[in-house]
Amino acid sequence: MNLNVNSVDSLVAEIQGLSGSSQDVNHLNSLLKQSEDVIRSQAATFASCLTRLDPSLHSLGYLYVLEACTAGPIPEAQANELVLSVVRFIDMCSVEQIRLVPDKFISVCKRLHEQVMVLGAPMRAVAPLLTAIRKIQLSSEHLTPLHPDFLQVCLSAKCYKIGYSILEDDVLEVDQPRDFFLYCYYGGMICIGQKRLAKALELFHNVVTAPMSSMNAIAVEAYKKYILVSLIHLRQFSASFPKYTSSVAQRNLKNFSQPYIELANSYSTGNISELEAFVQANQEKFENGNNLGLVKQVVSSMYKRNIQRLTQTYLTLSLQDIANTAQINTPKEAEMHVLEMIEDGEIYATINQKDGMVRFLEDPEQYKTCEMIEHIDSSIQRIMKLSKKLTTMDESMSCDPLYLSKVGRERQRYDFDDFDSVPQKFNL
Amino acid sequence: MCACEAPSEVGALYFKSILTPNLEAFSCTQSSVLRAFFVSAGIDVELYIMHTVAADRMDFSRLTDAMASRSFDKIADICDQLMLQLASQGVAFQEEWPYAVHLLGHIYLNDLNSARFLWKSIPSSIKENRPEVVAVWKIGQHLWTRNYAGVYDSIRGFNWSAEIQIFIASFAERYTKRMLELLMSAYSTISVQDTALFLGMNENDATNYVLQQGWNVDAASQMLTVKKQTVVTEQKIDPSKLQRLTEYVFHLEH
Repeated sequence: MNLNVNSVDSLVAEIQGLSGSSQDVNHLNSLLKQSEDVIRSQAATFASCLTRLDPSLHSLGYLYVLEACTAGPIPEAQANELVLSVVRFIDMCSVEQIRLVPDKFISVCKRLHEQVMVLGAPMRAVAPLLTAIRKIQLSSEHLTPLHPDFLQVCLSAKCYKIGYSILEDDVLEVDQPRDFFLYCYYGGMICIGQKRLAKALELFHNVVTAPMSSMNAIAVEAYKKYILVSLIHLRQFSASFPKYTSSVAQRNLKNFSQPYIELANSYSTGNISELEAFVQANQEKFENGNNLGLVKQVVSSMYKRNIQRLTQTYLTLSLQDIANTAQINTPKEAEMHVLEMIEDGEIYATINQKDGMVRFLEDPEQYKTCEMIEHIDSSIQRIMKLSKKLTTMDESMSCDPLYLSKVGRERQRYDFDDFDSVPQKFNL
Repeated sequence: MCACEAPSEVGALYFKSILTPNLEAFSCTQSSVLRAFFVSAGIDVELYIMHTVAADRMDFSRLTDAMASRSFDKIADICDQLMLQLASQGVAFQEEWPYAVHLLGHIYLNDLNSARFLWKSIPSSIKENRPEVVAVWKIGQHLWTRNYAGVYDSIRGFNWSAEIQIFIASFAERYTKRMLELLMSAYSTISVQDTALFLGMNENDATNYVLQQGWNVDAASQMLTVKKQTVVTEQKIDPSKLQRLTEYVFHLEH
């Protein structure tokens, strides 16, 4: 049976008739799929269907028509109206129905992103895109193609806090590598804005070490930010890559980020005036990379780096000595730096104003409070979940016929010894 | 259905003036009628009605409730949510938005990042015309640069409107407490003069305030000796933890 798409009336009637049981909806889906080209080629005519369909009841049919209407170029005058109807659809649509055609739902949402940018109002898409992600994702571990779009509008609309809220989910399932790269890159930028530097570092690290067969711009930019955040947060940078980094990345990333590598080298000397001179000389390069703000944070973190190193050597030290060794102008300024670091929990110390001395203390955490135990407990559980996940993946991979045939062939070629029972010495 | 032919703005005005008073009841009790009306009137009209409803529903009741019950720690979240909701409905909320309260909501929670990004998103015309918004941000700036005493100056340096006065006072009180805690964790001895700056009081009041906390004052050198707070933390472990531990060991062995 074919769908009767001769007129708007008949299409509406078909959709309304087949939006009840899940069986009907599945049937409607296959019918709509066959008529997709017709609907698309006459999108303008079928647009009037939308006024007669209920987005919450007839979500599937509504989505087919909406997608067809938004597929072509959209005149600026209609952008506002389009945004409103997409937002309303995302809000009301039925999860079961849209999950039958995730691609269509995603492409409508991407159009929403595009159109709010045209309208210069990215904030309009923030809440709807979050709703869309929650509706389309199968679990919170699932990275959808909408994640990067959501983070991007959050960045443009300066809604960092809500953007950060999805970064707390552990991502374990990825459809497209590109989504993952962008998710980590934008996510890293959100974390920098929220001053969650450890998380930012983790996300950039994921980009840099992700499997890749050729160089890509996202990885290069992520690597630059990785270097800067590493200096600000860890006060050091290690130029060696972990073993699992792709060879392409290992060979090329440094060449693309030369000034940043040099900055890290200059930082490691601990000499502030030298570092400032280097930044001055290369200001334009950092500015072009949109990283000057971060570079300035690197420079000001140098004082903290120097103070932190003192805590490893001394038990007590005068403010004057701190000022001298950390290249700070006055003892009062040194006191303010120390105070700031105590406030942020970066060091443990007490200032004695009377004698002008600072006493460095050990971390008072004794790992026996209930709160700490809760914390350790939840970490163990996360790790256990992860290890179970790994085991399952390992098992499913070792049963995969493609993998087995490849391994089988290679073993024959290389692991000759396995089949050779003759002792080594006769092998000569 | 004459509204359909008229220019859209006229339509919106028409609905706003004639329908608005009844719309509230209309959309709750007779939603099926409303839907039927929308269906026959077409999507444009529907959207405009939605728009009109939204504009009138720039509904600050949750916010005013929270302010009235002095649940100041909830203000930031309420404002964030409402703002995103209005934005997604295409409502131009900026002109009427309570930016001062929203900013202070973030500052109250010491969430300076969110305060800073909110400030950056405020249209420049509003920054120019609403001195109170700027005054709240001034507090945020001092916190950002850790100009501890400057925070008090900016609190005192503005004539706050009635709506925000109590909120400001509550923040100031909270901030003083936080500063006292900071001093207790970071100093063993500190001058009376500096203590007064950190607590935003004159030297006499500051001395009296900390003496009540058990500090000592050395009149000759004008130095205060800090009394450390002994923090009591819960260390008891309930038996269910033991069960968990067993599960962990089981996991490790399999």
